Amino acid sequence: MINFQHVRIRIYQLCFCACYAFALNLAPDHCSAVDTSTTAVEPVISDLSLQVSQNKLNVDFCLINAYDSEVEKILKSGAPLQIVYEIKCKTDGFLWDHEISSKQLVRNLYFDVIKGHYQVGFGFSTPRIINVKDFSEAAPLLFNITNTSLTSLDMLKDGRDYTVMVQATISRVSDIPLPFKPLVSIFSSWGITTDWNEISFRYKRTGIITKTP
Amino acid sequence: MKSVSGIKEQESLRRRRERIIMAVAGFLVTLFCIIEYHLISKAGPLPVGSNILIFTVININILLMLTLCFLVIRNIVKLIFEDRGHMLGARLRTKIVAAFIFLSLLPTMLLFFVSLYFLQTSLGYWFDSKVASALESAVILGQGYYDEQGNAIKKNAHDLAKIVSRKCVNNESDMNISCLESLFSDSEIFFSEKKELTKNSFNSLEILNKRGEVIWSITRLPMLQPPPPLDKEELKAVLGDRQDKIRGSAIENGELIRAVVAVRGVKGEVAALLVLGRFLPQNISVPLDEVRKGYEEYYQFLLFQDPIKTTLVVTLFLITMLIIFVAIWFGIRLARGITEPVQMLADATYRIAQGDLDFSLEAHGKDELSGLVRAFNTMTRDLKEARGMAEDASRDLRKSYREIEHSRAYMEILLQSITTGVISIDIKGNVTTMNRFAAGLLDRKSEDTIGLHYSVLLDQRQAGEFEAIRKELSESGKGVLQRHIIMERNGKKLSLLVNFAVLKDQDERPLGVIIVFDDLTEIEKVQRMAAWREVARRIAHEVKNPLTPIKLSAQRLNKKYREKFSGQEQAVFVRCTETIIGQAEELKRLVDEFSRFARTPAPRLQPVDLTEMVRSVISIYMDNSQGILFQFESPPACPRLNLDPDQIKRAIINIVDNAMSVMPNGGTITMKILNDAIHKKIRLAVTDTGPGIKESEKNRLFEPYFSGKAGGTGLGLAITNSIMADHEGKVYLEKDKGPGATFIMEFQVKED
Repeated sequence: MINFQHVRIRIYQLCFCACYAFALNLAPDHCSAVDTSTTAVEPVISDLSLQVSQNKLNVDFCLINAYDSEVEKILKSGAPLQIVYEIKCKTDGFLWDHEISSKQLVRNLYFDVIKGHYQVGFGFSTPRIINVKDFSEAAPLLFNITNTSLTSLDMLKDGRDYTVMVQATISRVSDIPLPFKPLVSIFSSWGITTDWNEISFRYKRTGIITKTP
Repeated sequence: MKSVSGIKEQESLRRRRERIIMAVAGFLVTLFCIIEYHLISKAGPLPVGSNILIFTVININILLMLTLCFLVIRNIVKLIFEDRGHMLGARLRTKIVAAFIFLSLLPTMLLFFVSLYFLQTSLGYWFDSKVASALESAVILGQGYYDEQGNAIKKNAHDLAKIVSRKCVNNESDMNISCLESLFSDSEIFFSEKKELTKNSFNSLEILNKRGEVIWSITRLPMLQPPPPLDKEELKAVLGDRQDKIRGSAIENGELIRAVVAVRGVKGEVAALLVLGRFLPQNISVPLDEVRKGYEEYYQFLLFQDPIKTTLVVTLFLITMLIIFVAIWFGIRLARGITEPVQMLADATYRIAQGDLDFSLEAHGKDELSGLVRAFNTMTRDLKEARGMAEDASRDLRKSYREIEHSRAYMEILLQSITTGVISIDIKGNVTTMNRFAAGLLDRKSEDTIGLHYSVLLDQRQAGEFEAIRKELSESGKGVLQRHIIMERNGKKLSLLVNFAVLKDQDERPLGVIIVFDDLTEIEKVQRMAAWREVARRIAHEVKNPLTPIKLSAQRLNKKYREKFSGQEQAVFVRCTETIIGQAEELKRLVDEFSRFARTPAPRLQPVDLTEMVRSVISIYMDNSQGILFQFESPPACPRLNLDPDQIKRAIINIVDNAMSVMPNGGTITMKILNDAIHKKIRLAVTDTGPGIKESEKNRLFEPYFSGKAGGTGLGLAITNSIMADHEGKVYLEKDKGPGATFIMEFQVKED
C-alpha cells in the first residue's frame, strides 16, 4: 500500500535538501534559529541526525528560522514563547506504521522586562528554569537539541528499516485575563507548526545506516 | 366524533420533528460550545490550528448552527410561499413575523452598532499612548531600581569575594571555614577597610564549592528555610566563563536578589563561589511585580488587539444573529399559535356550513384562542344536538305526515269508493271536495270540479233549488238539513237522499257546506219489488181460491143447463159459460204467474255448464221456432258456474220468450257466451232482430207488471231480474246495439 503522506514528505525533503544545500553555501552558521532575512521564511527542522550512544538511539537537530521580529515583539511584550518538539521513531507496517517510540520536548522562553533577562524553561509542568542575560544565550537552549535519547537499541530489530520524524510547534502562551480568551486564541493566527522532517535508517548490530540526510 | 387539530397529521409530525431537531441542535450547540471552550482553554502547548478535535467540534457546531439557520430560513420561505398562495392565515402570520423581525431587528441592530462603537472607543482608550508611556516609565523606574540593587549587591559581592580570597583562601585554593566564621562575626562593621559592608548590607551570604554545594552560609531572611538553590548550569557558567550572575528569586514575603561571583585563589583560579543576597520586601517586590504584570498585560493586549476586536465583534454578531433568529423563530411560533386556531376555526366553520358537525377541534393551553376553540366546540356540540333534535322532530313530522297522508289517502279512497256522494263547498261557494260518486252523478270528473263554483256545476233549476236550501240552512240555525231529491241523469231518474251540513271550525266559524247524498234508486227498486211480491202473493192467495169454484160452477152450468136452452139462448148461454171458464183459466194463469213471482225460492246452487244449458234452452224452441233462427256462440273453454239450473233456465227462457214475441214474422236470435277472464265474469248476450226497446220503456223494463206487449203480465223480466239478483249477477239492456235489443245476463265467476 502506498503511503501518500510519506511520498509527500519525501518530496518536501527533496525540496528542503535542495534549499538547505543552497542555504549552506550562503550562511556560515547552518543552525541559525534567527531569521535575518526580510522575507518571511517558514521555520524548519534541520540538521536531523542520529547517533548511537550507550545502547541508545540519540537524535540531534535544530530549529531554524524560528525567531523573527514578530517573535521578538511577542517576547518583549512579556508573552511566553513555547516550542514543542515532537519526535517519533517508527517502522513501516503492512497496513499502518508501527510507532517504536515517541517523545515530546518542551522549551519555554520568557523575557522579564523588569529584570531584563530571559528565562528558559524545560518541560511542561514545574519546568527547570535557566536565566540568561540575552537571547544569544537562550537561542541554543531553545533551538539546538542534541543527544536526545529516543529509544533503546533493544527496541530495534536487526536489518530493519526505521524512520525518525521530528516536528516543531511554536506558539505563544499567554496567561493574561483576556476576554473570551479561547475565542481570541482561535482568531489569533499566531501559531506555527513545521513540516515533519524525517530520516530513515537501517539498523544493524554494527551500527545504523542512514538512508536520507 | 372525530377530533380535528386544524393541521394534517403529516404536518403535525413534521413540526414535532422540527421542534425536536431545534431542541437537540440547540442543546448540542450549547454542549459543543462548552466543550470547545473547555478544549481551547486546556489546549496546552499545542496550537489551536492543529487541534483536530477542537476543529471537529467547531465544525459540528457550525453545522448545527447552519441547521438551525436552515430551519428558520425554511420557515420564512414557507411563510412567504403561503402568503403568495393566499393561504388562510398566511397574511396574518406574515404580519406577526414581520412585526417580530422588525421589533427585534431594530433594537438589536441598534444595540449591535452602539456596542460596536463602544468597543472601538473602549479599545482606543485601552491602548491609549499615555497609558503606554506611563507603563514604560514605570518599567524603566523598576528596571532602574532593580539594576541599582543588582549592581550594589554585585559590588558588595565582589568586595567580599576579594576579602575572602585574601584572608580565607590558602595557596592550594582551599577555603578556610573557621576563617569565614571569624570573619563574619557579629560585629556591626565586618571590615575596617570596607566600612560600608555592614550586617545590613546583605541578607544572605553563601559560600559554594566548585561543585555548587553550599559549604558555609549566613542568612538573615524573614523565613525559616534556606534560600532557594541556584541552577547548577548557571553556577557552571560563572565557574566557566568568569561572568558574574545576578539572579532574583521569589521567596516568602518578598524577593531575594543574589549576585554570584567567583572567589579566586592566589593564582587567579576559582576557589569558590560567593553568593550574596539582598532581600527586597513585599512593599517593594510586589509593586515591581505589578508594574511588570501591567506592562506585560498591556503589551500582550496590544498584540491581541485585533483578535480581541475580531472576537468581540464576532461574538456580538453571533449574539445579535441569535437574538434575531430566536425572535424570528418565536415570531413564527407565536404567529402559528395565533393563526392556526383561526385557520382551524375557519375550516371548521366551512365544514359546519357544509353540514358536517361530527368533529371537534383540539384546544391546547388556557389562552383566549383556546377558550374560543372550546366555545366553538361547545357551539358545534349544541348545534349537533339541536340538529339531532330537529332531525328527530322532522322524522316524527314526516312520520306523522305520512300517517296523515296515508289516512288522507285512505279517506280519499274511501270517499271515492263509497256509493254515497260527498261534496264540500267552501264559504265562497267553491267546490273543495267531490268524490267519484258525486262527480258521476254530475257527469263530471272529480278533479275537474275542484275549485269551481257550485253554480257552474248545476243547471238553473238545480242552482235555484240549492240556493233555497242554502238559505234555509243558514236561516234555520240547525246546521243540518235533509232533502229527498229526484234527479234525472241520462234519462234515468235517480232518487237521492241529500244531507246538507254546515262545516264549522273550532271557534264555530262557518267554513262551508258539506253535501252527502245517498242513491236510493236501487233501494227503492228493491223495496218496490218486495212490495209487488207481497201484492202478488196476496192477489194470488185471494184470487186463486175463488177461481176454481167459479170455473167448476161455470162448467157445471154449462153441462147441466146447456140442454135446457136452445137456439140463440143456448148459444149465448154456452158462450157466456165458456167465457167464464176461459177467463177463469186466464185468471188462474195470471195468478200462477203472480204466485211464481212472489214465491221465487232460494236458489240451489250446483256447477252448471252454461253452454249446455243454453243449448238445452235452444232445443226447446227448435220444434216450434215460428220462423225464428237461433244462433249460438260460445268460447271453447268456459268455466262452470254455480247456479240453480232451473231458475237460470227460466230466466233465459223469459228473455228468449220476449225476443220471440217481438218477432212474430220471424227473425234471428243470437245467443253468445262471453268469458271476461279479467273481471272474472261470464256474460250471456241474447240479441234479437226485432224493433228494439223504446227509449221511454228502457227504464222500466225490469219493473213488475210493466209490459210493452199486449197480454203480457210484465213479470218475465222482473222474475229474470230477481233470479239474477239472487245469483249475485245482473241482467241489463245493452245500450244502442243495432236495430234489435240485446239483453246481457252477467254472472260472477267464483274461485271455488
